[in-house]
Amino acid sequence: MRVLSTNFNMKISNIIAGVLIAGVAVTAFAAHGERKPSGQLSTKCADINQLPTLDCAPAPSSVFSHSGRLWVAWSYAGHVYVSYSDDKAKTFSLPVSVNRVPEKISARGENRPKIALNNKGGIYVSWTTPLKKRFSGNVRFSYSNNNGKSFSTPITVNDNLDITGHRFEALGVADNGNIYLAWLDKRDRLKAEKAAKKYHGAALYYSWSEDGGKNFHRNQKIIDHSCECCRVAIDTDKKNLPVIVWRNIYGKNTRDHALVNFNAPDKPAKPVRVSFDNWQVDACPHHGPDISISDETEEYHLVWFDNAEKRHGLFYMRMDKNNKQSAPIAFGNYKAGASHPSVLTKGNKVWLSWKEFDGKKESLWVQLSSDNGGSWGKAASIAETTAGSDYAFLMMDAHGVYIQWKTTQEGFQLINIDESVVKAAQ
Amino acid sequence: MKVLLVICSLFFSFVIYASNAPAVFKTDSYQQLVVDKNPPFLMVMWSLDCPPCIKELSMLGSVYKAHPDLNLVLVSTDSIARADDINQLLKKSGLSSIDSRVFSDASVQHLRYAIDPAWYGELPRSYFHKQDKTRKAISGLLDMNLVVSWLKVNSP
Repeated sequence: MRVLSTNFNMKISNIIAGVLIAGVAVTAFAAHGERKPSGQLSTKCADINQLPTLDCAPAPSSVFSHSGRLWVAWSYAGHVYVSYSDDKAKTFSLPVSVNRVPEKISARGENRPKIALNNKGGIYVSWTTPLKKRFSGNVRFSYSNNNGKSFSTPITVNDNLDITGHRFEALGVADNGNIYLAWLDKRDRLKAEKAAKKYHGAALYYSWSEDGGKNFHRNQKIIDHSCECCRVAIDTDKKNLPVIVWRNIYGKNTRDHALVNFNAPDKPAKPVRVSFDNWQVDACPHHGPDISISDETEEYHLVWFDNAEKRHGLFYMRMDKNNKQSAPIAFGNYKAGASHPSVLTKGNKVWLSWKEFDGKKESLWVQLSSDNGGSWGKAASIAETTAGSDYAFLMMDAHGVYIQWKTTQEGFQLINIDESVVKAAQ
Repeated sequence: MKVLLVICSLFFSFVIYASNAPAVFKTDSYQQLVVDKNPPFLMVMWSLDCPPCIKELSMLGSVYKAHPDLNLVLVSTDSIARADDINQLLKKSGLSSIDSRVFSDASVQHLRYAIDPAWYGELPRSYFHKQDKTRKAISGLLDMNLVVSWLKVNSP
């Protein structure tokens, strides 16, 4: 019954999507006479007789389980779907719809559905649903306790329901099962604007669940005046607490990065500034940071992008739990558009990945340190594409390190980047 | 069902066509645009997903009202699927008669590169094209006085 009902909802929304896509394609053709009707992929995705596939998804997220199963969350036509692969993304299970009632889902660049697992088979999914007003949205959450066969009715995690921004959520699950969500929130900005006061940017809010996502604690604010359109990054530490990194606004308009760690789930420490590039701009960079925490040394490995006149490009920095920071190291080729970095650490190894573009090809780059970020091997280009790509994300299972990279031509890829692969590509 | 799909497609196509969708901006559009617009002109890249861009459009609307000779082209980095939202916002900002384009669904990297390899996608991003064919790029919300004084020096 559950399956039938899910399929029914999916079909209805696919019909709507099909009509919309067909409408837009025909329109574009009619209006300009130069645009081809939707390509093969869109036609396949719009086929109401077929389940959508990962190929239809604009911005997926994935994570490995302890057993090496790859779980992917993605969205298409008003639904978040979860599917899995037991053969490293060669084949996938049929997708399961997370939200039975279709809703808008933010899935482009900095925004995408997120997926995280706990140690006991719990699967957690979050996403942002845009609301009617521009730049407004709610943070949505759902879980599965039956190995992804079905998902709980989605809940809204932000406890302020003003039609304003509660977006760019980041999802982290600690080893003890605590679930953390942090996001950019404009409730205070709305309040200020109603009182005819100026409020720059958004605020960073968070909440957490200690019962597997059935209930979330009251939302708490971490800081006012974050940048408002860059993704937020999260990882969890040995004490089962989150560490969050985001682009903040310092002073009038300096968009550098900040980090917060916690003394307890309800006790965020004072945020620390982690980048000092002084990018002063009243703009949307659409370019958020990343973090990976070392299990052994408990150090934070951070990457970010800035575009200040003097200090620009991609940067890596290491920070210990007492907030002692290493000197940032620039990586990637700024002149080749190095962008959208990802970082991952395992043992004493640290991987960096990013994208570059030479005017024809987008390339995926990796750089590896085998001494905890102290020194770095040569950067290696490990994949290319010519027709556009999503951001790249580093990830690992018990045996190896991979990059998720979805490209228009090649589709969803899981690229192995074990040390031998990187060395061979150098 | 197929009949319904066709009818709906035609309906949607009529609705969007009637609302005068912005022209599609492709990888070779910029070079042609520089010829067609006959510098000096101002090209502003923006997106529906960018809060400062909305302020920028409102500011440009005020400048345009006071200076109807403003040679301006607006390029949205959104997709043609959002043509209605784009048109609505331009109308609200008093910019519905301005030359408006929207990114094609070619790779965003390719489109950005065709305009400026040194542009990392931050928005708004403005290009002041001078008569001598040089240009100056500025990231972030423009100061209205800057636009007006540029206009005084670079009146078409």
